[in-house]
Amino acid sequence: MTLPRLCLACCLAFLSAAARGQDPLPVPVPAPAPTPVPTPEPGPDERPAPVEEPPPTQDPVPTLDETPPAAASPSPAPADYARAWTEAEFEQELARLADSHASRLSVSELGHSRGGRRIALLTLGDRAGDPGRRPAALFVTDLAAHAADRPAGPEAALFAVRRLLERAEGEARVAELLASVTLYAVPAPDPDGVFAPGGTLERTCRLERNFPAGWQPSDAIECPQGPYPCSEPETRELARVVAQRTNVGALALLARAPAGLWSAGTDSPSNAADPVLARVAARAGLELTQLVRARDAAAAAPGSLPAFARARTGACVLVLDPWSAPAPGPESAPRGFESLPGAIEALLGELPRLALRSPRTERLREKLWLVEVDLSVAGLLPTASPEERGKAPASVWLDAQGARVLRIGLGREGEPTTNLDVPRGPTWRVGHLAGAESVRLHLLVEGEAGGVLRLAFRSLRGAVVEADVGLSG
Amino acid sequence: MTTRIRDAATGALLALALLAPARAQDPSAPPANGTPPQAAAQAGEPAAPPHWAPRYRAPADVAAWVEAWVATGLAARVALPASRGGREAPALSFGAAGGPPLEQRPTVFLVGGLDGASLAGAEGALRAADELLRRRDALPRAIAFVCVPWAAPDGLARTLEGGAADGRDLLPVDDDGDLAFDEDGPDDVDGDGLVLEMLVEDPEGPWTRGSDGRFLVRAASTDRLRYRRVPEGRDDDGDGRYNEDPPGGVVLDLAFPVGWHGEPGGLGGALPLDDDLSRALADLILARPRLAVLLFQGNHGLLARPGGVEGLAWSSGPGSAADLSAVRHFAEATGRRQAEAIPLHRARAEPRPGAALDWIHAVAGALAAEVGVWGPLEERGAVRVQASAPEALVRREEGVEAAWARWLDDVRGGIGFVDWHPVDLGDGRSALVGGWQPFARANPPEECLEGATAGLASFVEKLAAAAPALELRVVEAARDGEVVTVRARVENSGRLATGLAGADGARLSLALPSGARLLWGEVEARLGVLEPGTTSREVTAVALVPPGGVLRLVARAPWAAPVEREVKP
Repeated sequence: MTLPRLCLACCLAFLSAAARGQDPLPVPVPAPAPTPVPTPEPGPDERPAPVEEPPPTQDPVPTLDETPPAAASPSPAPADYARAWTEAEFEQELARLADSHASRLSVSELGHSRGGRRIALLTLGDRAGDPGRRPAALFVTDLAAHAADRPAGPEAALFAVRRLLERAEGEARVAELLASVTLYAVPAPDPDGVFAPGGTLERTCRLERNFPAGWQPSDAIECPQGPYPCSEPETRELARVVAQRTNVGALALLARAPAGLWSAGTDSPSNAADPVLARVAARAGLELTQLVRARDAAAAAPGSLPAFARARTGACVLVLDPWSAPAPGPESAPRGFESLPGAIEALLGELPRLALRSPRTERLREKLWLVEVDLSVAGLLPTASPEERGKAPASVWLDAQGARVLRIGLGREGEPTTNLDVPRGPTWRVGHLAGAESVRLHLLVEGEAGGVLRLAFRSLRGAVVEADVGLSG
Repeated sequence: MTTRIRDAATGALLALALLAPARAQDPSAPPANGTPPQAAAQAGEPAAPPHWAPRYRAPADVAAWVEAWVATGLAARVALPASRGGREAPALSFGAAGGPPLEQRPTVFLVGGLDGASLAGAEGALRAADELLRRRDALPRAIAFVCVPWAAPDGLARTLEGGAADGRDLLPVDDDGDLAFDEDGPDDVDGDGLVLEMLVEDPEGPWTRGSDGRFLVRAASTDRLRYRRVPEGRDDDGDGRYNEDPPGGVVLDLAFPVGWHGEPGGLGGALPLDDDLSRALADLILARPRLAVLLFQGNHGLLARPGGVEGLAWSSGPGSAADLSAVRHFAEATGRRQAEAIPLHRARAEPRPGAALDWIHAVAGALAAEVGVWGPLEERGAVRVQASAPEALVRREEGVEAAWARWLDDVRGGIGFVDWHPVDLGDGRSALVGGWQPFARANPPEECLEGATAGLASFVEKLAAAAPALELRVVEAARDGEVVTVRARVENSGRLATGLAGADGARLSLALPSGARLLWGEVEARLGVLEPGTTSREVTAVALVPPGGVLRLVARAPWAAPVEREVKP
């Protein structure tokens, strides 16, 4: 008898929907805002003063798709995302989102900028569990100069975050996804540059080139990469997320694409067949070729965050330019913003979550059992990148308690079954699993009839799946 | 063990003794504007601490030494953040009285034990600074000194306590990528009170025992008995590997970005300069004009130049003229002669990716050297053979081992090495345990500290005295009505170049008075690196200058103090 302790049906339902090619992310049509907040277009060097607004009203929570009367809620209208926000507005919206979606969003402090401003870290994911123990993606606004030497503001990232949270409120599929993965979002990684461009302290480098990838001393002298990688607190904190949070397997960067990158062309990049980007493109209505080009351009730039993430963890990199398509009307968010939630959700759906099928038990001798377990990866991303595989012998481990596991055989499709090394403790090294791979484990178990073998698979990316296997029959 | 207890006890007493007068004068108050402290302490002011004595100081002793010098008013405190383990890294700066503010002078940095293992290096830096402070008025007035004697306090403290002398700080690291931290570290398997080395038989192991069975050499393809070499300890996490995830994480000396690669199990950390202390040290070096950075560490007994790994542009070749000059000063001061400037990876007989020395050379642009305080030839009584011996040592690993073997047998009578002996690791597995005892090879026995650190202050002084000295030669300063012509050159009368070749060179700038107008010529001339005794090209400027106007010429160079001259043609 087996006692699975994970809601497998939910994951399977999500996967089957994805496999059928259903588009779970219909592009929302913003409703006309009856009385939008006055939003004069700021010049490149002016930002509107903080808007004095009444305390947020929590109930009901208005969504972007059903913009309420302005007087009833302080929620930004779609058009508000097209202008540059002040620091006060940014903080106010963070507080509102955290209050409105307390079960799925926490706002914490990633660190402080050189000017002493808080760098906000948004953690999206079901807070019933530990978001740090789930596969995760990092979602960041680029640090490069966007307009008039200022970086892009947090509006696009906040738009996507808000939309995702609202979908989770109304769509079970999104809610289940946010229960199994985590999204770390840093909408304003350079708050000094965004909110106080006139008072920004002099930098010794370009922030977007200050990551430890391809850093050279000559570049340090010539300035762009700084006297040493991560010499600035903003880049240091972001790099730490990539280097230290091993559950992060993907990076989504909102960046202005180089001129010409998005132009239509018939040539296809050699690796346009990237299956993850292909799925993201299909679900979000984006051009795969453009996604691949943007990724390759960003990852090839020495000292960039994508280059660092690729080199360090082999992370899947998604580069999106939400500013390339302007708002279709005065009361709408920029068109490019509308594709962000779908793209981010699609990326999250490809993170490597572990899934178990009900184990089968066979009694071989009085106290000897054969337990067969099918373990699979839900999502197209692997449990470890090729870069990581070379550094560690395993990225999936099995902790077995309650009975003595004598041997484990691992069967992969089309390959003969191999034996796992016998550990001295209860933790077995299963190895690495590819994206969407399924393997069968044969466990030779010594235990009393009626006992329970407790299995817990965990992976480098933070996924955990558990099952209790009853020794009976 | 006995040494450690004695050190701790005397250290505490000394610390108390030294702290008392320091508190009386509020040592926390730095000299105003960072200007060099005035001449010798006057009557009633705190006295200098006792002369350096050959013993290993505990962290409290080092802090007390800094406090005491700061309290005399002869040195200024340099604030550095604490280590990851919360330990202080005391530091001070000083220089001869009468010159410009310390922060503006070309600076010689004395950094002890940044590798976290070299206690002898820490003592070497401290002794050098102590002796220089005592003859402060004889020091070059244009030069400042900064001493950070215990630059990697976590690693040094563990080494001093007899723990693993791997130099790591206290950052927990998942070295083996199993999501567990520091779960498989060294153990005293044989119960002799020491954690030494362990040889595990492995057909593909890189080591085998040499002709002298105590020492290991690289295995050849024909060697049948081969070993993996690991710290003494059991397989605590049951993964079939030994001590692959020990306590602690980063060796600060290897956390710099040149040649660095962040590998799991590597010693350079997940990100370069990711801890506050090493980053503050780097920023401190960048913040001041820097002549030289001397890292006192290592047990090769040599003066090593940058080149932690092969393949760096500066790892091959004979080294720069400045490197060779430093080698000469080192030999004159310590009697340790070496015919060439040896790159770090050869001096250490192993690659040093991410070495601080390479970053200091390549980015900070300072004259950088590792001063190997201890080595197999540095104890009195050791046979210092012909002058080329140090180079011979670093050419072949066997040469280094042979030198240590001679020291062990001829000087120490074999004491300091535990012969390899079998131990049972459980599950039917066994290994050999043995190797060098603490305070033998990595750091000298305490009684050898005197000889190992002798002459280091003199070396630093000679290096500082050789600093480039700029002189402005005004060839012409003529006025014809309002038309003023200025021609000038810059001469380096020092014994070192004005900076590293290829780096930013000397400059001559001309400031015109208000109302003046440059007609042609240069107001900011790049002169390149000026070698010792050379003069720059002539710089010319012709300007319209109102009567009575004063022109200001300023010559600058990375390693030299700026000189300024006003011209009133």
